Amino acid sequence: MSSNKPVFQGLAEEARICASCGSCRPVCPVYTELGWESAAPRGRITLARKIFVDCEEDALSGRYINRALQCTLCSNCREVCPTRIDTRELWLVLRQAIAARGKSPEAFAKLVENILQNKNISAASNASRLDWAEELDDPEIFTTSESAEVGYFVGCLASFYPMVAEIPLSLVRIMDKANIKVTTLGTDEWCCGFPLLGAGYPEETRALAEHNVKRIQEQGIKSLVTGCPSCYHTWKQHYPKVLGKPLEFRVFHATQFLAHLIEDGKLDWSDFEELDEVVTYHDPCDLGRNSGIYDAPREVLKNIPGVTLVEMEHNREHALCCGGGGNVQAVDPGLTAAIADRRIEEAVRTEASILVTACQQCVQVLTEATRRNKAKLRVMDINQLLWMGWE
Amino acid sequence: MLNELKEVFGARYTDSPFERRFYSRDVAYLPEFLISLLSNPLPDMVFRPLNAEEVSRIIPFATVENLAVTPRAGASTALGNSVPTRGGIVLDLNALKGVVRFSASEEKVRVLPGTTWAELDSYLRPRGYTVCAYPTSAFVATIGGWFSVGGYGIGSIEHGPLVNQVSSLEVVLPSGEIRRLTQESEPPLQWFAGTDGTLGVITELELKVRPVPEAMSHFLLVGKDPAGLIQAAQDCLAGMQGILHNLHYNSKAFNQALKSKGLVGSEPGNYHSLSVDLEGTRTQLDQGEAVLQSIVTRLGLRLLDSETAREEWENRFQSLRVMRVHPCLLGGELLLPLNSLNQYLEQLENLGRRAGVEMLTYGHIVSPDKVLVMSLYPADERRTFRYLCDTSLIMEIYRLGIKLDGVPYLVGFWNTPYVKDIYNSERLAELKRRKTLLDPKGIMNPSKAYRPPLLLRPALFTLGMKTLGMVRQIFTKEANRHEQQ
Repeated sequence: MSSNKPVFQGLAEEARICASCGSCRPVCPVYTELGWESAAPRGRITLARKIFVDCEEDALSGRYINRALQCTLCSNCREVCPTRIDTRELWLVLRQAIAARGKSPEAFAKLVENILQNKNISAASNASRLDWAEELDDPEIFTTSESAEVGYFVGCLASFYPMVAEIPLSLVRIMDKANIKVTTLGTDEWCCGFPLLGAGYPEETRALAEHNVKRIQEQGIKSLVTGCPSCYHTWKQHYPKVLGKPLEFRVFHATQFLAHLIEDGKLDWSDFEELDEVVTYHDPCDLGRNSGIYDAPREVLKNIPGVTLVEMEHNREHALCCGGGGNVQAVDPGLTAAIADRRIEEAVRTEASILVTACQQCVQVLTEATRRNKAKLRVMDINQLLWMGWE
Repeated sequence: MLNELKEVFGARYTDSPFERRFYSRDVAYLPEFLISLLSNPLPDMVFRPLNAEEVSRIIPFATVENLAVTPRAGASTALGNSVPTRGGIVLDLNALKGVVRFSASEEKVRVLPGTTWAELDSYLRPRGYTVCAYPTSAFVATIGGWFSVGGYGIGSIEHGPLVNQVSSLEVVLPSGEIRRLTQESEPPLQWFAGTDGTLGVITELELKVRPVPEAMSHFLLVGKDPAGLIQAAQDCLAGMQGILHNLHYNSKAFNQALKSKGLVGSEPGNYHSLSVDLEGTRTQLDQGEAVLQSIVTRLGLRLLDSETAREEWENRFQSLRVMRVHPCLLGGELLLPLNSLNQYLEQLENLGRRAGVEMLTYGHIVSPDKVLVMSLYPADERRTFRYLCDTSLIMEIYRLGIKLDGVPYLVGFWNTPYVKDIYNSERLAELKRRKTLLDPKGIMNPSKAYRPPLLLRPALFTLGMKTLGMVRQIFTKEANRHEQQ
């Protein structure tokens, strides 16, 4: 058998290996919206080659940096690259090179400063991390960082953004329903560091990783559940790399955890009110292409009484991006909106009543797109959909 | 006029130096000074039209201003087919994308030229249909682009070149007129096939499509030398008509290169290989397999396991993965008589040995008697002069193929020195007549397809290449001397 695994041997080496064939171009959500060659992955790599192979530093212009950062890190380009370039890694290292030259945009500088200072992506103090839990019957359960075998890493978006606060509430209620004792890191949860990676500052994630891992171990957590695919990807892929050792506990995305609960018969469906909904599922890039999790969310959906799943034209490894990844929203919100609009168009074509996803950022971006387009479609996270039957 | 166009196109027009730069190249890597010596690849402006009407508004402006017009879509060739040679206007046709009309009963689809082959097939498959033939660059090559170049690829054995599958074409002529052409119209659509967009801009095509076959089966034959595999290919062509979809050859050197990076399994990695891909009913495929088994036994070849064969099929779009082994490759693609392939491979190996490079070859058999063969060799573009000297081997590969009744595949810009080898004098005269008739001012994609520019005229070009070749020999001798020491 041969290896189809993407490879990354360094920016200059991969820029040489790129055949400029352009297979990446039709699948790139940014190129699809902007239409210029400079916005296509092969265009970005062509200039990266000038800069990092031919050493033409002048080519690292403001226009080029703008193009380099107009990337959602969706990895659609990696899926089709015939030279097997791990383009996601390439884009991250390109951002590092831009940051190392002090040429990152102000939005990134602020983002980095904020995370390092507040330990989260919002402007709020980390002390308010558990505000979302106030809606629970017993809001105090997470205030003391109790020991438990299952830990829930809530993530910055779910913790601080009221628009998606229903997601963590639904997940912990489902866990309660399954009689799972769960704990969180409380106000000691720090940002996983994913936005720093996306901004080109991987070294700055070390302290965050060390802190979060230490807290998990102190609380005796054996299984960590994340609701956010980017947190999941960072915990699974980046932390072992930056810490130089494997994690001593298991990490699950919420969809995997829910699928296990269903498979093990841990959920009592007797009082579940059948939903009677046709839903379509949007694969988040960091959960699907970047982490390879396609089946778990579909297994969950197929098991929810009264739910019929219809697939969009682009699904699983070919799923379109929602536009919310790669910190693009911070540098070009209009581009994020345009990409999200295209995804909503495709979801509407399925005639589903609910667009389900498994990512807070996707929920946020796609909800705004449905409002903008006056689409007759509700957007919700898979946890919310499942909890609806017990609500 | 330009201001009016700018108003119409808005954000779909650019004259920004930053943006224009990306339209001055295709897949090929060539030193900028060399390109600048021979042409001006940097367009003055780029338009991204949405329909034929918009294209037809640009053409009169180009005519009045005497600006060259270069149509561009996937830009996935290496011969400069869609790269400007004298600045002017690039028409980026990628926004002309999508299916206009599909008729299952007529087995036809009307499609916009910027649609990629992968996109068209993704549209057709859920409807139970598929394209007849497609290029190995299907993810980027567009319908209009492939029609404008060779149009030979996977499926051509049964369905012929793309021009055979096209029943009508909408074009914007250099006069600005929008015309719908058929195989019988005046001019006929065939004039526009393989002429690099030098006669007009294609804005819509109607193609034959076919129902998705009931089943496919994949086989991978290996042998110690190519002769047995070529014979096997000829036997398959004779004995499997109607079910033979694809025949693809890889040289041992090509497979070994892939194997060195784990890009192909160890079994095919040690041999020359021939992929045989069949499609049809299950009964037909069973019969085909029996025929193939007898060919394999008779010729003393080996048939690898079905998983390896399937993997080779799935990698049919991935020949470029060899760049992970050699990040810089030069080479030439020839359309050769299948009967000459063995002789070509023998002589190519000798050429490689003399030149001190390993020739990596693969080929698609595209008709009962023709093979499209690509021969590549490693180079290093970072050493500019040495790289230039290495380009001299391309001419030697072409000369070798031409002696064996082959022709360089595609013309574009960089193969214009070979136009007299590619076309006989009557054919070339006829092509030039058509060009003069439709594009008297010569604004459409100039310096392509018919006549080389001064420095690429055969006498001068051959002299230049021979000189570079002699310098290259000195490099090779020097390298050999160092190795021996």
